[in-house]
Amino acid sequence: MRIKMQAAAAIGALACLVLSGCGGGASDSPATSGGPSASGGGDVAAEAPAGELKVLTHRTDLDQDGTLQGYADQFMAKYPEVTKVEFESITAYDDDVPLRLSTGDFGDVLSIPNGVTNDQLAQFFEPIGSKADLSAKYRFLDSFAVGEQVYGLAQGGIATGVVYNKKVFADAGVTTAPTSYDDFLAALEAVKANTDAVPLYTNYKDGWPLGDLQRNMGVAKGNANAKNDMTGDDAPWAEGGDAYWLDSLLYDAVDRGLTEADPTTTNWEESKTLLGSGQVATLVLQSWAISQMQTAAVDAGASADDIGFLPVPSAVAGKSYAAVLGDRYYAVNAKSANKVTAKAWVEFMIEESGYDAKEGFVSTLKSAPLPSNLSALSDLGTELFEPTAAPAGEEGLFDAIDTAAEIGFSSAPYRQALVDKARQHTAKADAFGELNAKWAAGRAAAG
Amino acid sequence: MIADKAPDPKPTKPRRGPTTRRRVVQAITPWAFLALPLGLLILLTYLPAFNLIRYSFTDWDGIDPEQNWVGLANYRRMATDPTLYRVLLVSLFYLVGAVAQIAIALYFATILSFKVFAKNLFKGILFFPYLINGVAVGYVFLYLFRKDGTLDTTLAFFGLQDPPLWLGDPKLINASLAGTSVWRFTGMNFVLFLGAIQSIPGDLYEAAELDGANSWRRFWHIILPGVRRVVTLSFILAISGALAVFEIPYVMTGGGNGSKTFAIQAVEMAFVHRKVGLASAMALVLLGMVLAVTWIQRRFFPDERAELT
Repeated sequence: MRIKMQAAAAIGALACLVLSGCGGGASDSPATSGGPSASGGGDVAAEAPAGELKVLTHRTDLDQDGTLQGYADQFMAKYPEVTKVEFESITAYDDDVPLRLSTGDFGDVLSIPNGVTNDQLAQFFEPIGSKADLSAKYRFLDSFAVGEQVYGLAQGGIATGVVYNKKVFADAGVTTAPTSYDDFLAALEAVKANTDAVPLYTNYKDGWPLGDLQRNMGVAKGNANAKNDMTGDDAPWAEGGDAYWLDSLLYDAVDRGLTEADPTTTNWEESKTLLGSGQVATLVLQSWAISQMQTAAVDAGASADDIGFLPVPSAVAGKSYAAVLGDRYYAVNAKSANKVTAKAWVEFMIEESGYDAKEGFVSTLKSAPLPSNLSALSDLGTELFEPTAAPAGEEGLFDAIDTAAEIGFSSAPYRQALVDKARQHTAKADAFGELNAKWAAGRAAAG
Repeated sequence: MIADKAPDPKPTKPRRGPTTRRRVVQAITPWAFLALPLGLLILLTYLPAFNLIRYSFTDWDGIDPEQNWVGLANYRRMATDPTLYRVLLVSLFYLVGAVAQIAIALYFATILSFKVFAKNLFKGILFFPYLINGVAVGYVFLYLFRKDGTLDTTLAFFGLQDPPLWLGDPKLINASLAGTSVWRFTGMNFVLFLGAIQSIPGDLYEAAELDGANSWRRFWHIILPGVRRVVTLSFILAISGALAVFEIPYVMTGGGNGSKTFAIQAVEMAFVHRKVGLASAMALVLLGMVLAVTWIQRRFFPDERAELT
């Protein structure tokens, strides 16, 4: 009996070892990293950047080809006290990083992953400064700001629009750039009638280009406040509303057979070649895609000049608009032990690295000029605007309603379902009516 | 041992000491060996499973450190919202596929357990798809099913023009995906059946042959009873597999165009709509359904010992 008890005790002890080994470690790390951070936070002004830095990035390509290490070398040359900049690039960034947020183990600097809502920012990230101070120098402060506190700085900005193949438009007999909604659909019809090209490619299978369509919210009517207005509207998809115009483009194009025959087998990498080689006429993407499409066009044996950029079709006669948005945002880990260096890295990347220019981004610095890839928009007289931030106290409201409504406004499945309905020629009013009902229920639950 | 020390006279100690120690060591040894696997099992299986149960009673969004207790709200929602369980109908396609899969596997296992030309080659060919990673299978079949893809070109070679969109047509997509699943998993059933058939004593066939039984009768009266338990097991696996099907539709279509299954819906709920609590409840309900189906099946088809002699 006694021996059995001893054995049981031994098992217990061993089990404790196994379990506490891990459990202790997990609970331990935030505590230890919390200690130095508390003191580090106090001496921000006094310290110069030094020590080691860990950066989480979504740019696996730039990590592998050494571009990021190049920036790190420049950074260490500027601040000799910094001994090491380590990068961790993550392929499924928006899947993996949100899960790590609550553990505190996500480097010193990171790209803010999709899925973090604004009311959660303060839990995970260090405030970078006040909007009043930063706005003299930087653009795109609103997306990750809560009240006056700014938690994220944009890595660069992009403009909404449509990348298209100029040659296909010319072959189809479209001579003037179609900026209005009706002209754009007419151009797609012309492409369908006069050429073999797919007028508009949805990238349904990969999905994220459909999710990214949410960036066009409000662009059709040039309403910078569209997303905020939506939180006070029980029927945003009612005819003429901002959400109506946003999703109508996709719905009408699919409904009229202006998209690829089999959306379920589309392929993003292939879509670049298809556009470049003139087998696809248009892709609704943002300005970041221009350089990739030009490369694909050259690889396909065509010319980079074949690729053009149009504003998102406008619902206002004689006008066109483009939203300029921060692409990804840098943030500093609230539990970082080296916040001074982390902030210095963010400033360095935005102001000195040349990363934004290399990527064709609109610079986060207000003093920098617009990138050359947006000249087409200036030629067309397109008005650029930055979407307005949510009013104080309502930062998380849009996401809260969206979650309660189970729509997933920026997700792929939501617009894939729209494409499915449009392909079966469900009346647009019915499909949009269903969304209105869900949104109204979401508002009731979350508002 | 310290308690023993005082009353015992000196000479007995060296005698009793080692035996007690040996008994202790003997008692501990198996547990010491078990501690690591058990620890890992608890850490990686039971602890997360326990957490899953706990999440299912909260409104956790998967990120927030705060988890609010909502009681049975998630389960009530599961029971009352038809959009959540309508996707189970998709599983019917996979169930039909699984039945076909068992039939095909049994057919080939029977044939290949007799003397056949290039027997091992065919065994290899049949088992091979099961060895391929599910994601790779998904991508291969994506190219097979796409417009003007491998399948369409092959059909065109045989003069069949204008094939349907295998994945693009909402009426066909689930049949195409179930077909992929059959292709992938037939090998596993086949190997199970083959092993069971080969364990049937050979003299039974000889006796049957002497009695003049034809091959159909030999299959019906000797082979089928002989592999009955494995067939029953396969059906249980088929039903639970059909309810929980995830990998192939998720890789190939992401649940688009009406191919959403219950498991994909749970994943979407957790990672798109950030309702980890509800998704956990869905996962548990799925587990409950699988257990219930298995139990019902065992009630109606009890596990009888196969009598071959």
